[in-house]
Amino acid sequence: MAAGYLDVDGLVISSSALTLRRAREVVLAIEVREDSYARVVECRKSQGTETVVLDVEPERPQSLAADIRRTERVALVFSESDRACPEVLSLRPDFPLTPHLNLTGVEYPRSLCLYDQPWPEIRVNWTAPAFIERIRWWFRGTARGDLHAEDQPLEPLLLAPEVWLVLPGNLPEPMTPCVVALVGDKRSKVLLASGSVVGSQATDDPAATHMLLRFVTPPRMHGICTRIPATLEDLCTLLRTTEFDLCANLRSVFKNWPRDREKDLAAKIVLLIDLPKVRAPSSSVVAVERKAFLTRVNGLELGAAVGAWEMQNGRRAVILKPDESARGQSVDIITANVTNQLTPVQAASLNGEERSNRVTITAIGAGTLGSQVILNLARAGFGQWTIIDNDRILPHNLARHILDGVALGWNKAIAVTGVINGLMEAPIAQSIDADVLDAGEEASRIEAALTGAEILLDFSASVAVARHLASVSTSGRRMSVFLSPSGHDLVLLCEDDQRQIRLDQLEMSYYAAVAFDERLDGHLNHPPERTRYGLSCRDVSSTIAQADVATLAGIAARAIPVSTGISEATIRIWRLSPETGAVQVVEIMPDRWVTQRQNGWTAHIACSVLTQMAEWRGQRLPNETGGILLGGIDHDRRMLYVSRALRSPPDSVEWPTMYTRGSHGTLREAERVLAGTQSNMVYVGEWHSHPKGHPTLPSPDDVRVLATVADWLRPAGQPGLIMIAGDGQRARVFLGSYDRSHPPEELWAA
Amino acid sequence: MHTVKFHNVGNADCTLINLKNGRKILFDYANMRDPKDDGDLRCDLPEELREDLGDRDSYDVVAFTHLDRDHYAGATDFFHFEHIKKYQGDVDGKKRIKMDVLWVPAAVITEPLKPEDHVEAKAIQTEARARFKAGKGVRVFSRPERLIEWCNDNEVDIERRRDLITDAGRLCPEFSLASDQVEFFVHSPFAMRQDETTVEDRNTDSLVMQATFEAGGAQTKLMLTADVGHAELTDIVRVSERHENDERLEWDIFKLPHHCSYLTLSDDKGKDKTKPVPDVKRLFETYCQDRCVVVSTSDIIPQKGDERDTLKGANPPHRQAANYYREDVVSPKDGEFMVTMEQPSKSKPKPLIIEIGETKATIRKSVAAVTVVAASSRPPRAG
Repeated sequence: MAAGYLDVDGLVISSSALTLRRAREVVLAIEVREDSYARVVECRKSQGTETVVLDVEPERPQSLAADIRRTERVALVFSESDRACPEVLSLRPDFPLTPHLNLTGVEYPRSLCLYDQPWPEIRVNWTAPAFIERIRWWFRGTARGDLHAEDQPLEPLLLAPEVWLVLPGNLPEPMTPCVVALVGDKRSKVLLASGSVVGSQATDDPAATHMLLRFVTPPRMHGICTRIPATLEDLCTLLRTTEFDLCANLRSVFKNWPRDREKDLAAKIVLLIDLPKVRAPSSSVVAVERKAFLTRVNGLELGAAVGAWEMQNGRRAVILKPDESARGQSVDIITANVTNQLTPVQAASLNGEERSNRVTITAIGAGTLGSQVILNLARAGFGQWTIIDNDRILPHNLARHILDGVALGWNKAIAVTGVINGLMEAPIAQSIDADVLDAGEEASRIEAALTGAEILLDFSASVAVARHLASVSTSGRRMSVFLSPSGHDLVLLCEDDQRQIRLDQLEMSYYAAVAFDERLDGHLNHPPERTRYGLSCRDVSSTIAQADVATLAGIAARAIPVSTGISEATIRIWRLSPETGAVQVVEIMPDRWVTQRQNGWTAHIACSVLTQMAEWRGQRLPNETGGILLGGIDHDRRMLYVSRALRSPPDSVEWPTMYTRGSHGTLREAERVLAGTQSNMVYVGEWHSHPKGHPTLPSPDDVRVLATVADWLRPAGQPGLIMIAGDGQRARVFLGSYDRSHPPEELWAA
Repeated sequence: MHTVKFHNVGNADCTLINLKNGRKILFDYANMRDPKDDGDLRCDLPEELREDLGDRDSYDVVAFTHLDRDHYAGATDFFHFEHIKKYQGDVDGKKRIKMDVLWVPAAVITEPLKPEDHVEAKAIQTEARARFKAGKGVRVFSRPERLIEWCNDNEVDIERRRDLITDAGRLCPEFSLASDQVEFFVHSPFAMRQDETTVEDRNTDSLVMQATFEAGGAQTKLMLTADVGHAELTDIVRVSERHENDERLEWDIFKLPHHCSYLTLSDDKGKDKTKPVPDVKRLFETYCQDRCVVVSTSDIIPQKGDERDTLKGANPPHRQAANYYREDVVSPKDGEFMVTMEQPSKSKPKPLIIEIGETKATIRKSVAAVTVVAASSRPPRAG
């Protein structure tokens, strides 16, 4: 080897004498191409390895982030076993300390860390030209200082590949004992530190009682510690700068140890050291790396090891002058990576969200869909939850619920809350075990939960609950998410942020779309082959695929933050094709509504009904025209919704002063709508128009129509309803009966 | 990021500057390749340039540094000449490329061409003169007596052409650091010399400029020289230093004059290494920046004892000059000496691309993937 370069193991051999495939391929790759910017210097063979020494010429900017030369000499060491990535060593004796070097037992030759993937992954696509290019790429990035992308976390100063110390969000008070215990299986090297523990059950196990001592070093460049310290002395040397001496710091901590904390010295010592990192000398701190160093000794022993005192008969004996030659030579340490328990902010970031949205949500229903959507959202750091459910986990639930057999018999709200709180360092959910419609002793907590939430999220698959939520008087925005009976469609209804369009009104617009929008054909159909115990539109069949629920729960978890992020109301339906897995999204424009109370009922009239009637009236003038009205009824809350007017049937009689509605086709249409909406959209009354210049007050004939309609509907418990459309897109609605002395106000589309 | 692209056209010049803001400047155009010769490794220049242009059909500026054939060969088959009908319209079904502004040294206007001079040189002169008369689309460098004389002879009011003329020591108004992140400082031709010159020698009156690029606060300086010799470089150094324009002599990238001729450095070629005259030595060794790049737009540098080396009065490139640049200029600065016909390999040269960004100059050294190379290569005939 030429002078000026580091030596390489083995005997020089000719390239044709190489036997290892990868080594031969590297040589070949360079020999066949003049423009590979690489040159073979020599080949060597040693016990179990073959080495190819190359001069490579990386692309290099004029202004260098690290001292990379025009040509760099490297040794590619291939091993017979091929169980690890071929090692690439820089043979320059003055090769700089840069990020992305492998930690090895020795400092030189420096070993380039080329890949962030394990060797078995790399092997799949390993080719010699790509490997040489990867080496050039490494030098290029190192020369430019962008091997580490700006947004990539800085490289660890000290790698400790296996051992992890997981810290709670709130670190234990400095110098107070806490519990550090191994968690996981028998081969786990993950240690979990819990918060303050003194006096708790944890101290029963003296082996688990530890004390964290924290230090902060002066800022340094990333990736610069070149080996793993084995002893405390080693660590002190590694971290030592003109301003920082760990050993002196420790000595001073112990020297001043308070008398009343004597017994805490029995705890094993963990050094928690913050290493502030900078990208370049004298630039600002970009990140702080935290490393833990586990000692096997307790405070008493460590104090002695750093010369703060002497041990005599198992007790410490204060010495006048601290022994500065004691630098922890005898104290073995284990370097551990430190990580914190998951926080919502971090969870959001790991989910690709810019920030964690901690909107307060009260979710009603933690069943199949609810539990999966809540878990998806919670994992993304979304929401501060109150979960209400009164149901209990039974074995059949386990086919599609996030909970497992351990939760059998548990209240779903409590168990789901437990799961999502287990994700994070601090609770993000609370539970209420109650029925929102019949709260009982939890009434006040439920009221507080409904009042305090920014979003009321209904997963209950219960129309009653949705309607109840629509009507309770709190300011939170309401949202319903449910599956169609087949389990193949997902529905999301979300109020606008001013709550001008209410959840119940959205529901009615949704039914109208189900009845009249062909994109929703068959949406509420129940799978015909299945026996059902109920026929509600949200009664999901008991045999649906978890795979479908998972897909749709994923979509819901995407859609909920989107809908809450916009001010308008939304109605969206996603239709999953179980055959192909394709999902079609159907967007329905929510109607605006006008409301009026009459005779103990509240009429909600969709503005589209008013404009539709006006349009048909205009087309027929000077004649009158009319038709039937469709909508929904909430008997419980005495609400009547008019969501659709139908055109005058062809056999109607239309005159300038009178109108008689025909019946051709109306039966079929009413039946179709009834069936298509699972009886949620029904005949609610009649409309007709008045000629120009005539008021929208009922004529005696009109009053008779109202009475007739009322007679028809009485058995169904529905009030009679007629609407009269007049000039200027205005109309009047008459509900129940007509009191000539108190005519209702005219309505118009706002 | 700006890029500077030196085309591998043998002992000839064509340098393309692509600015970050999309503007394009071409210094010289010499399509030297013999399309009938499969072994000709010089690039297909019109093809290269058209590929770079994409949908564009013009350059913001085209500079002809002087009227020697290795700086204009084939120009009439590529450019649209506004004032010459027969050099308009398509060539081989492809659009001609417009020159929004033509940069020429004054000599291109004033120098009387001889009947035996090449028809393309005459075309460039005709075009430059017509643009100058028309008062637009041209910039003329320096303002010698000869230009005044020519104006008088041709009934052109020189006072009304002042804004088309830029003297040495000034910046070209077409570009500025503020709007283009580049400025062009004119070193040559300069009036003083031309006043004294009785015959306007083409090389000595050719264009020399320093382009200063700015990116992310870093400045990168490119010296663009045509075919000047050591005497002209000496003048440039002395004049600049006298005017305390030292920073206008600094360079990160030096496009060598005259294809690595020893005459750039000295009249004495030297045995193995040319020893430059003192002012030129200073220009190359003192004003160069760390990790500088010297670009020789030339054929492969001959080896010692080559036919091309031993021939008396051999044309450039000269290995003695190359040795000087390698050993005394770039090596001490950890820089690079690049030869357009030698890189990335002598057998497959490609245009040399230098990227200019906030880390200053980076010579692009990308290696195409094997599969890409394979797919883009022609396999032999299968039986």
